[in-house]
Amino acid sequence: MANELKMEKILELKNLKKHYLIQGGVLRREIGAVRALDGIDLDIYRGECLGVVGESGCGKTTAGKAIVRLFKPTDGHIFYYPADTESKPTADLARVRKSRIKKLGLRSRLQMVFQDPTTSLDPRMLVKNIVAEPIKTLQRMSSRDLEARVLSLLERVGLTRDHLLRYPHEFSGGQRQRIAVARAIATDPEFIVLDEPTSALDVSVQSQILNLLKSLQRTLQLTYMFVTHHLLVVKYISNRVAVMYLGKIVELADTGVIFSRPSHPYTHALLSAIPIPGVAHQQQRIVLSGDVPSPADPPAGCRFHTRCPFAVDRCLKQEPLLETMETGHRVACHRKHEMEKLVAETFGTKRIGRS
Amino acid sequence: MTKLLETVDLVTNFYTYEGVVKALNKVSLVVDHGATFGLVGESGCGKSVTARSIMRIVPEPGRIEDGKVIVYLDEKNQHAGIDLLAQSEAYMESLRGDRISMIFQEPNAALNPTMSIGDQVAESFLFHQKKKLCATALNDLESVTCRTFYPLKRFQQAVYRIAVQRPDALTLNILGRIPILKHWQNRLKNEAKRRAVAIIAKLGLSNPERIVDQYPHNLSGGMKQRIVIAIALACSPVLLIADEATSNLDVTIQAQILELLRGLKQEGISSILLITHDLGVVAETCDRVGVMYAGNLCEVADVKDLFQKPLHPYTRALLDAVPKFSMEDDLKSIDGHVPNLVMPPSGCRFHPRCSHAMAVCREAYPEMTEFGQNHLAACYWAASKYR
Amino acid sequence: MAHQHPRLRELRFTLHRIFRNPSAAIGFILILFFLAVAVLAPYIAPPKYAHNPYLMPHKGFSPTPKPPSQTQIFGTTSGQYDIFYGVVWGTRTAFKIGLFVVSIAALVGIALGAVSGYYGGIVDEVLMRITDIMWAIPTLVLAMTIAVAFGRGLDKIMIALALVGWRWYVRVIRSEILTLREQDFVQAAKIMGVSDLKIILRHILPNAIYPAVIMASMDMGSMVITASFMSFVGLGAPKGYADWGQMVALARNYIVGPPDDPLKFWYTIVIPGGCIVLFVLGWNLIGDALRDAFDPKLRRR
Repeated sequence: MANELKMEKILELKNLKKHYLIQGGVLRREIGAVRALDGIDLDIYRGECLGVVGESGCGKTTAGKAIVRLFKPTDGHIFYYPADTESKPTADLARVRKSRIKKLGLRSRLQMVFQDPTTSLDPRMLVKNIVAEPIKTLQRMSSRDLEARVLSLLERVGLTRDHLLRYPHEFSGGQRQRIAVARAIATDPEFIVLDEPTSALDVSVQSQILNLLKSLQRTLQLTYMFVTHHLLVVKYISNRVAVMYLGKIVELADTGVIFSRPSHPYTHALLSAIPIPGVAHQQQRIVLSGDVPSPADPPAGCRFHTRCPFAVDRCLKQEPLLETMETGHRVACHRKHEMEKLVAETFGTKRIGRS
Repeated sequence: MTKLLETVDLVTNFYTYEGVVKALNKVSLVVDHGATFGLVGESGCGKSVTARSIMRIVPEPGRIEDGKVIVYLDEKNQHAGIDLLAQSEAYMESLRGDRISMIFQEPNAALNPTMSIGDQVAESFLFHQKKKLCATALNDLESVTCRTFYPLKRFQQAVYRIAVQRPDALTLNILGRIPILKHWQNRLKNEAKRRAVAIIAKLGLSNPERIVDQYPHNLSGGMKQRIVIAIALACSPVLLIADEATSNLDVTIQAQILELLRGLKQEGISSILLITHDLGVVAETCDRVGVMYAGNLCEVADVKDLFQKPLHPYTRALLDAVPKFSMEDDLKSIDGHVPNLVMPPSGCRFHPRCSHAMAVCREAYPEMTEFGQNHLAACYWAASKYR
Repeated sequence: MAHQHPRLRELRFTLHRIFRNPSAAIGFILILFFLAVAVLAPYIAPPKYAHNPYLMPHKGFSPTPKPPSQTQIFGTTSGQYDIFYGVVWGTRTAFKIGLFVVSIAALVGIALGAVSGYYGGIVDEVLMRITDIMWAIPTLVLAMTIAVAFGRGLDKIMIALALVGWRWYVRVIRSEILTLREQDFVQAAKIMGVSDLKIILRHILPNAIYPAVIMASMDMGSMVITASFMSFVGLGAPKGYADWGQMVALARNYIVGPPDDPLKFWYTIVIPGGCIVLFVLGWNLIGDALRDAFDPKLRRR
């Protein structure tokens, strides 16, 4: 699948950091920082769907929000390469001032769909106005043209004219998420951050939305960054997967590789933690002990060593770098080459993902 | 297998501005002693309302209209069923948290942020098992090793003797309010706390002595959910109702909690009624599964049967809609959406979305019929095909 | 029902919620009654002095009140002022005080609160400290100071009340906005490039305004009480001005009648006093009903 894509970058994250300062004392001095994102290097290619997985607090949503510039990153770069480089120059989203972003027309190119459609749609606005809002901020349009455009967007996501004059609370969760998707594609973006778009939805609706997103990607030539904690969803929709842990990327590979030859112990644990809807295979499960450490005070050395069943002395002292194992497969683990053997020895080979 | 809980034609309605929401439409299910029963369905299908109706904690403006909730607390005597809907509120209060307990999705909402963990777990003992605690305390006092100032010891012995017989006696209430003298309760509280430490340790939390003195904000989400389970299990209930207890947790933490529940099951702690929307969780933890749709129970089967040969079209569609490991083609989805229960579809409530709908489905609601060993489904199509 | 305009449908739903509460109906009836009296005042009690209708007409200067009679249906108070006339035109005064004070206070408060809550940081810090300073000034002391400095008068009292009234609204609106600002729909609007002003006006205020509306309704009553008190202690309306507080003040010496008949002059106190009580009660009942209707937790299902 990866070969079909032209390997043309659309976004390039370089050493991206976002630290939230913790202030304390009477004078509000800085007494620490929550390292939500702690140095991320990531290339996103045009036309792909990059899945970003990890547990809550690992920084996956922060990464998505940094790209659409909901806040200014503490350090690092986000290079954006628009499709027509002549009319729109390359920009460093991490450095541009907020007002410049709007002037450069970047707001319309990069969009986001939020997790919970009940909170991401203004409860006091009609669907018509919700979907029209991004178009109105971009250009002036007669109200008839606007309505026609809104209608075509709604039809594209599977809603009808009847839905125009309704409030969000009159819809079911799936329909609300469709409205949110319609709003996100209203300005013909190139890149959309999907922040857990299906985790607030029911199973039957989840598949509707996933299929909708897949078909939109094909017809509108979109690039997705799909942030989720649900690995099976990622497997369905993504070409490549980045696994994050405590503000860092620990493994990055094509989806097939992640599921067949995972090389980071955390990826192994995540894979085996998924409850399988089926009774055929009884798997030996790797249950991690303990919780994710606080990002305000990450462990020294490898951040995963506190929960890792295979940690050695080296992991406590030296932080592993994200290194290439084979083409397109990058892992941050000291014992990445022996991992397959280690997991097989400890937990047996009869596990999911290797049927 | 012996029955523990049985609901018979349970009907619960919600009286809202938009109209009467018919949330439960004759739900009949049976949970056996020592079994884990999973109740799955999409949001709004009535699975939580079922649990709340069983516990009689249906929120306003809901009302249980009809039906029976029968519990057979004694495994041996299957004739001594108690219909909970006919009992007094006081009886329910003594039952909840003691013989039947419930845990909810959000551990933050279940724990009081201003009480220490130990006190919250101990509260359950003090409320439901005062008699037992008093007996233990009295035993302690009468043992030779107890070295308390003699007159005080005599006084406490006297008090505890009353307490063992009637823990709510008026004299004790008065004694509990007099300064100095009220310290007789300390022994009771210490005993409750000791038990709290024991149960917290049993739930796999390290360092329980430290945890009992901490407050909810000191703990992580997974630990809080463990504490909530500890409170629920404190009085060794016969039935634990877990309403989406792991849905808000991360996968690795969810795996821990599921492992914990399974471990507790092996110790034979109680039956579990597990309510979830995640078919994976059901497949891994349950023995028997009920699938709900729009206020109806549409299929009940042993977990293997349900996943291997589902009968009801809704169950089939649901299983097809879940992303799986080995999957090449497109994910199937169920068209349309869950109906508005103010005006539910006539006949079988699933018929507008069902690919096998027949004329009869529009007119009459299919009865639960048995297909093979313990496999029940309410569907005309399945009946015509598999019977 | 389904073909109504959605805004109309929403309105109907809100009205349904408000009037489900019977006390709300009482509140609305009371206030509607007062409103009708205020609007129709020139017809109910034609003014005697064309230049200033708010001056109560009086026949004679006798300090002893006279009981209700054919010509003065509510009787006269001390100084022979006609109670009926005073009560009718006093309704106008009450609305004038309430509306002026509350609208100024709410406007200033909501604007400052919105800016402070939305932008946060240094703007928030400065605005909130100014508000804190305002909190340190007791309402009555400020009102008295202004009255002493600029002379007695209802307008001075109104200005004084407006000057301190806004601080409530700042706090309430700011706290609402602090939670709304982090909501996804506000973030979504930011991503779309909607300007800050539009976000505040279109997304945040419509969702944050309800506590302020409830408070404004409650305030209508309490401001009238405070103004009445000022008039009672002699800092508000001048003598003879149709103002409920002023009328109660006039009857100060007749609260208790002669020893053999202590309730002899009841009408001098009960009628204007009753008006104040009913007016305040009406607004409070409305405020309560609004609170129930707008409670987001109860609103749906």
